[in-house]
Amino acid sequence: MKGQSLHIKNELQQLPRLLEFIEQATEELALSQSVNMNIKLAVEEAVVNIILYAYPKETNKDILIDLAYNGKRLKVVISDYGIAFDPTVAKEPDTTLSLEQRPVGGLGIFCIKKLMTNVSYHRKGDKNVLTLIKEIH
Amino acid sequence: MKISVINGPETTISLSGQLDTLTAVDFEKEIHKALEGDPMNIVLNGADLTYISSAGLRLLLTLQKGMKLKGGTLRLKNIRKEIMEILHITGFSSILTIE
Repeated sequence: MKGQSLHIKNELQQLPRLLEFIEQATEELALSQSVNMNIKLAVEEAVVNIILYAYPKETNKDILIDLAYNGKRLKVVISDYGIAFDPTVAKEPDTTLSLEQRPVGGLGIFCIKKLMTNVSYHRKGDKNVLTLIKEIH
Repeated sequence: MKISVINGPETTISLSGQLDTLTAVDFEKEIHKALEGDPMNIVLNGADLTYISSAGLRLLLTLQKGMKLKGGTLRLKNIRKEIMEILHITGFSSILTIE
């Protein structure tokens, strides 16, 4: 099991660091471009939600990203101490609507669920823990 | 991310790099220029676009809706395989014109 961690603050300006972290980790693990794209997307969506909504009026708050890979499954655990929020229960958009009917937005959490093999949320004390699992074939 | 715009009989917007929550801000400005300006036919070249998140998807939908309202067209070309996968999953491949 190989593991890596990143600690960022709740600022959108930290997003390039997050994407770079995922890029490097997936490169080191020799994962495909497609897996790299999917993991980056899922993690960006989850972390951007935390940055924008978990700490409404506070800055300099912590977000932790732990990544581990055992050769078959990649596990990313995202933790924060903000407002309790379970993204796994968010309403799914209707992806079959026509161009005119299709609302703009609401795709972030949907993408996380579609691209990962499993997504689970736990509130542990005052901490949000979101676990993303991707089985790699 | 780099954005280059070439005007002509059709306007070609080429995206290079990562279209994420932060870089989407620059792309949004180009989209507003295009929607408020003359271009009636836009080609979005994705040959060097390596990543897209929901912020980018939102803008593609905004651009497509805006061009349709204007009576114009939008075509996406040279979209990479990893990004096509995302367009399929989100149902965007059936509402966008992709060559």
